[in-house]
Amino acid sequence: MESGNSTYVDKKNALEWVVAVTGLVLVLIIIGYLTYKTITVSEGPPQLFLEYFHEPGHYEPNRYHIIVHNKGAETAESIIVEMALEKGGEALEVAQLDVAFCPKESYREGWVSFLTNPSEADTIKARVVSYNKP
Amino acid sequence: MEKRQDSNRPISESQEEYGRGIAGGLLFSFPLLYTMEVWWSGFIARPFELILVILFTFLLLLGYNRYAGMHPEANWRSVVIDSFEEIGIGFLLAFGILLMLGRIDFKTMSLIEIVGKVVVEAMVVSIGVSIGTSQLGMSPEYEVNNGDKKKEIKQLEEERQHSLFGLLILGICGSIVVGGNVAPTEEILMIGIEAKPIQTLVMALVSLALCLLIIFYSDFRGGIKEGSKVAARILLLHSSLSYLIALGTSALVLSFFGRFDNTSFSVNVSQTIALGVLSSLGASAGSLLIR
Repeated sequence: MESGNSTYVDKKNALEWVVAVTGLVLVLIIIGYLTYKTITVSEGPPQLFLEYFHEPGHYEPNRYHIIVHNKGAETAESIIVEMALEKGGEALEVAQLDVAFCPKESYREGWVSFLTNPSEADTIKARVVSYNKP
Repeated sequence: MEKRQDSNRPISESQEEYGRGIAGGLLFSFPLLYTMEVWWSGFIARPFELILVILFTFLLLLGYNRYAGMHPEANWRSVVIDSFEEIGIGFLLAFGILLMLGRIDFKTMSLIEIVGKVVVEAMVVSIGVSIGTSQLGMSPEYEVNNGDKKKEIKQLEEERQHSLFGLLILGICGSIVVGGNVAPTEEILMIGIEAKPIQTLVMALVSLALCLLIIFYSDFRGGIKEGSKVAARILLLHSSLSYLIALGTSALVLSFFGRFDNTSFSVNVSQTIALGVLSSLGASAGSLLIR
C-alpha cells in the first residue's frame, strides 16, 4: 500500500546505492554473457583431446602428465584415458587415468606412472577410451 | 528487524543490515556451497537455464521483499533496489566462498564454468541474504509513535502475508531454503528408485500431517481454540496449499538438477514426494519463520 499518509521514507545512503548499483551491474553483465553464450555456442557432444608429456617425479621417474581438454558444448563425465608404452607393435605396459568431469571449454589434469622406463618403448600412445553425458 | 530507510540513515546501520544479510545468506546456503552435485550442476546447466535461474531468483526476492522482507508500506522502487542489493551480495558471497573452498580455479576452468557455479550457488545465498537482513536481529519495530498507525501497518503486513500470493511466495522461499539443501544429492534419486508404493504414500501423508501440524500450532491456534469453522476450513486450505507449493517447488528444483533425466514417471513422482517431506516443512514452517 502506498497511501497518502504512509510513514515509510524511501531514502538510501551512499553505501546502499553503491551496493544496489553493483548488484544491478553484476546481474546485467552475467545475463549479457549468458545470452551471448546461448546465441553463439552450438549444440553438440563433448570434443575431447589430450596433451601429455614426460614429467618425472622424485619418487615416480616414469610419470606422465596428462591434460584432458574439452572444446565441445557439453560437459563430459567419467572420462577414462588410457596411455600405452609400445615396442615393435606390442604393448609393454598400459596405464589408465579416470577423470570425474571435464566441463565444456575447460581442462582437467592428471598423472599416470609406469613401472617400465618409457625410454624402452618406441611408441607412446594416449587416447580417450570412454565418457558419459552427465 | 524490518528494513527502515530514511534520509539521514547512518552508514553503520546499513553495515549492520549487510552483516545480518551475510550471516543469513551463509546460514541458509552453507550446505549447498559444500555440496559437489551443486558445483556440477553449475557447469552442466546450459547458459539459458542459468538465465532462468537468475530471473527466478530475482522474482522470488521481489516477492519476498514485497510480502515479508520490508516495511509493509515500502513502494516497488525500494523493493527493486533492495532486491538488487541482495542478489549482488549473493553473487559476491557465493564467488568468495567457492574461491576459498578451491572450487574456482582461473587456470583450468573456463569462464562459463565459473559463472555457472556462482549463479547456481548464489540463488539460495541471495534468498538467505534477504531473509537474514529482515529476520535476524531485533523484533519488528516501526518508526511511528501513533498506536493506531502501528496497528494499521501490522494489519497491512498480516493481510499481505495471508493473501494467496503472499503465501505462495513465502512458501516457495521456505521450500527452496529447506528442500534445496537436499535436492541435488544422489540420495533423493536413491529413495525415489527404491521406495515401495506404501512408503511413498506414507511420505505423502507425513508431509501433509507436518503442514497441518505446523500451521495449526503456529498460525491458527487462536481461531481453532475458539471453535471457528472458518478457521478450520482455512487451516485445511493453507495446509493443502503449502503441500502443493512444496511438491511444485520440489519438482522444479529436481528437474533443474537433472534428476528427471532418463527416469520413469513413477520414479519422478517418488522423488518429488520424497523431497516433498522436507519442502513441505519449508513451505509451512519456513514461511512462518521467515516472515
